[in-house]
Parts: sequence; structure tokens; C-alpha cells
Amino acid sequence: MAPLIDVRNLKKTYRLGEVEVKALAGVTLRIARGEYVAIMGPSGSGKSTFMNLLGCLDRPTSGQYRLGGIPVESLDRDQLAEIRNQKIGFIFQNFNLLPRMTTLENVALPMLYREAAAPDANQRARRALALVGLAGRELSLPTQLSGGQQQRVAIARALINQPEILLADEPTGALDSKTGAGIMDLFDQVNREQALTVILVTHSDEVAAHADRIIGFRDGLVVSDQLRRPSANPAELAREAAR
Amino acid sequence: MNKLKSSIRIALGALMMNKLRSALTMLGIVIGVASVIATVSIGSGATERIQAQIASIGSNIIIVIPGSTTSSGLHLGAGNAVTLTETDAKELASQCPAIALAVPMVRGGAQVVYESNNWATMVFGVTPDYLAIRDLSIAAGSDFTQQDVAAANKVAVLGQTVVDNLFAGANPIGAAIRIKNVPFTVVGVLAPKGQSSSGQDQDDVILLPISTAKRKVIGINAANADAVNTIMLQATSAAQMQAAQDEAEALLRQRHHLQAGEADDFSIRNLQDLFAAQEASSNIMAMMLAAVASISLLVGGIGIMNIMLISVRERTHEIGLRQAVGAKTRDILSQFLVEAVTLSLAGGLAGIVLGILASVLISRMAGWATSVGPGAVLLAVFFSALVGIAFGYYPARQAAYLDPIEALRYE
Repeated sequence: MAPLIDVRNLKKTYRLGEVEVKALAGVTLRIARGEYVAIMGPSGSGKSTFMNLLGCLDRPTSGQYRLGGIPVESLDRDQLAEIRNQKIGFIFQNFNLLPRMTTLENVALPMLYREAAAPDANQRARRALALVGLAGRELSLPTQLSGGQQQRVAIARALINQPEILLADEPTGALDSKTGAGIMDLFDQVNREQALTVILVTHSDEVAAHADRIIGFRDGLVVSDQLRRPSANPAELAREAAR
Repeated sequence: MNKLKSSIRIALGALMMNKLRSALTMLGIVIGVASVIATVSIGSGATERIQAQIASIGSNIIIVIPGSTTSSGLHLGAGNAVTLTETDAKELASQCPAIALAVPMVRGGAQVVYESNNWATMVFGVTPDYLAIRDLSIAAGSDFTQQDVAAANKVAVLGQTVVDNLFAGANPIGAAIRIKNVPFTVVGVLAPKGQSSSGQDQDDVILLPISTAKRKVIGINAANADAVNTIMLQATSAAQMQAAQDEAEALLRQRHHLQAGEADDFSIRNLQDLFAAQEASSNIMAMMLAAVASISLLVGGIGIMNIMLISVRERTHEIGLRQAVGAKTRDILSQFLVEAVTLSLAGGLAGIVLGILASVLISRMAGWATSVGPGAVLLAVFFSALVGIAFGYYPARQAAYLDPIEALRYE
């Protein structure tokens, strides 16, 4: 069985006027279904660029990216949008909730853009909110919630379409450590209970300690790849290793 | 369907966020639509008035007047010759199947006196069929009869204006009046008809039997005692108008012994054609006004485009997030198009209300007839939606093709 994420010699180059900036200098990496991965590295190491490529928000300059066997680099705008909608759940440092919409509407937003309309959209959004511990706050506006609660809404939104990967870019960066720990517990829970692949970018060792595997980035390259403990899905990993 | 509903809700929310800005943006459309509605209502009011005038003359009327006389090579105006006669009228009525009625007419002005009041008015010498042709009715008393014509009785039917000026409230029926010093008995009063298209008071008239009018009031033509000024014809139906005209021309040419190639010594006029031309010119006027009004609709559309571009800029981050959770190009496109159309449709509806108010005000203050039809309203709704789509498309496209990463980074 192919790995969920299979990245080969991925490069991303930005042009800033005359200067070429190599954000990614050739990354090769595999991540199996169900893994819990932390990506660490100093600012400018290319980890955010890598996350954007993994999340199909951006296209590589060269190299291959297969997501569940699909060659992502050859897809067009709307096909990428479809993948983001169906397979990927995003969590941002600054939550990115739409301020004029209620909590429930924010959570239900990805279902609005599904090809097949979900008739039970409201029900599902309610369940997702309950899962992140916000039952009863369905009609609140984001501004009426604390930072931690807003991030929980964002997680519920990321989970609503039952994605294959949860991508989190500094999910606790805007939160105090106690609230951040609560958020991390939520990630642990969805990784263990739903066997969801979780990939997060962080500066914090404390946050990274939640992950099973820590990948280090520097100057657009992978410089370390450390398996701290067996994944929650050891069978899959074993198959991966055998290839 | 669900998407559209949510697009509309998002659009309304966005518009409510900036109430003043939305209202000002709509103003251009409001003014444009209101002026289109007002001008179209003036135009169709004028058309309706012309049609009412056509109806007031009577339906399917053809007028025959004598042709111009040529006197030593000098053309005198049409109607000067004495070529038409009462006998012509009788023959037209009896021999032409497409002609229902034919009424000979003589005309003249006269001073009318009742007791100490006097009034100058038009005198028509006609036959009783005149009422039927002109679609006139008797309000009081009765019309004179064929016997009155045969016997040249001195009886008169008065128009309302004449009654108002001579009788000042007294009952005119049976009263003795003097027309050019000849005593007449009033037998009837015509129901009021109002102004003609040329602004003439159609009620300022006295009808007399044609025989009496010739002998006592207007005078007998020295060249031909049978001569009349006009023959009024009524075709059997609107479809028979052309046939009636052709039959009348053929019969009159034959009766006047005109050779082939010789010009008619009479001319036949169809009043409907005259009014159709007038109606067409008033339509052109209305269309020009509407064209001017639609320029302001265009300016309103540019205003919408401007605001939509600003709105897209302001909401770049929101667009980026929607893209990140899976919004496709057409999702974003339709969201902003719906917003632009909502803006322009709301402006259009307000404009319709304002336009109807304006046309009511115009007809009150200027006395112009106005009429707001469902067609004008539908047209206004259609055009304001069209303006929204046309001018909302470019900004919506800009939004739909934003790069998700850059849009997300935009603060």
C-alpha cells in the first residue's frame, strides 16, 4: 500500500525581483496514514512553504507530490480546491474564523463547497462542535469566544468533511501554554481515536513532544527525521518500512 | 439551491455591514431606474392619450374633402373647390359595401344669442348619422331627425360649452336661441367630449340639419347648391378601412367623370394614419428620454463595480480562507455576483417605487398623462439585474482567481 504522502525532490523557488529565493531545495519524504508528525525548524527553513504544498494551497516549482496516489502537481485550480475540501483539514495559528458568521456556520463552511451536498450539514456541524467541547455555543460569534475556544471551532471546521490529513501551522502559537495544552490533547485524541494523520508545524519542543515523529527543516531541506515512538498505527508503519 | 441561499445571506450580511456605502452605491441605480420608469410612463401616457383621442373622433373614420382648384395654373389650398356634394354622400353610403355611413358636412362660424347672452361658435350642418360616426351621444333632449333635415326645420343641438356660456344653469331644452339672427329651437345637448388632439374644444359646437344650415346660417354655395365642405365616412370595420377608401375613390372618380391619368378632384384622409404618425413621434420622444435615463443606469453600474472592487480587496483574507476550505472558482464568482446583483436589484426596486411616485407627481403637477405599466416595471427589474451582472462580473472574477496563499496572507 502506497504511503498517504509521498514527496520526491520537491522544490519551491520564489522570485523577488532579481533575487531567487529557494524556499524548498529538494525535499523527499514519506508519511504514512495515521502518523502524528511535528515539523520543526527555524524561521525561513521552509517548513511553512512545505505545509502549504502539502495542503495543496500552493504548487511546487518542481518535484513530485502524491497524495493517496494522486499526482497533485498536475491538478488544476478547481481540482486542488476539491482535494482541500475533501482530504485536508487546515488549522491556522490565528484561527481564521469568519467574524460575521456564527460558530455553527463557521464549522459548516467546508460542507458548503462539497460537490455532493450534505443534507444533514447542521447536524454534523453540531456533532463536530460537541466533539471539541463547544456544545451550546453554536450561535456565538467568534468574537464572543476565547482564543482557545476559537481554535476549537477551527478544529471542528477542519474535521467536518472527514479529511485524511489534519495540517496545523503553529496551532498553539497564539495561545497561552495551558490553553495550548488543551488544544494538543484534542490533536492527540483525533490521532488516536480516528487514526487521522496529523502534521503540525511548531517552534515549541513541548508541542512537538506530542508527536510520534519529528522532522527537522533547515534551509529548505530535511535535516533530521526522528521516530520518537511507534505510531498509533504500527501495522501500517511496518508495511512502510518493509518496502 | 442551498449554495444560492447561503450566497444571498452572505451578500446581505456584507451589504448590511456597510449600510451607508451600500445605500450610496445603490443611489445611481435608484436614480437611473426611477428616471427610466418616469420617462416610460410619460411616453405611454401620451400614447394612451392619443389612442383615447382616436377613439373620441369615432372609429374607422375616413374624411373626404374637395381637392385643390387650379385657377390659371395657381393651386389654391385643398378644400377650396366645390366638387363634393350631398348626392356624393348619399351614393357613397348606398353603393359602397365597405362604407357603413356617409355624412355630408358644411361648416361655418356664427354668433349665437340667448336672451342677453351671446357666444361665437362653430356651426356644423350635418345629417343625424353624424352622431353615430363621431361616437357622440345626447346628454339631454334628443337629436334632430331625418324629417328635420328634409323640412329644413330650425332646430339645433348644442355642445356643452355653448350651453355653459349661453344658459348659465337654465334648462336649454326647448329654449329659443338666435343663430345669425335666425330663431332656432334647442332640441338637444351633446354629452361632453373634451379637447381634440389639436387642442380644440369639441364641445364648442352647434349641430344643425344640413339643409337649414345652408339656407339660414352658412349660406348656399353660389356655384352648386348641393356642395358640401366635407364628407365623413365610416368603414364597416377596421379591417375594411382600405377597401372603403378604395371604393370611395373609385366611385367619386366615376361620378366626377375623371379620366384615367387625371388627378383626383378630392382627397381622402384617414385620420388613424395621422394619429399613428403622431403616436410614433411621441414614442421616439419617449425612447430618447429612456436612452438618456439609461445613461444614468450605466453610471450607477460603474459605481457598483467600483464598490465591488473595494469589497473584494477588503475581503481578500476571507476569500483566501474560503479557498482553503475548498471553495472553487465558481463558488467565489457566484458569491460576489450575487452580492452585486443584490445591490443593483435592491436599487432597482427602490427606483421603481421612486419612479412611480415621480410619474404620479408629474401628472399631478404638470398635468401630463402618465401610465406605469407592468412592462416598464419588468424592464426595470431586468435591466437592474443585468447591470449588476455586467458590472459585478469583473470584480467577482478578480476575487475568484486570487491565489489562495497570497489571499490568506493578506491582512
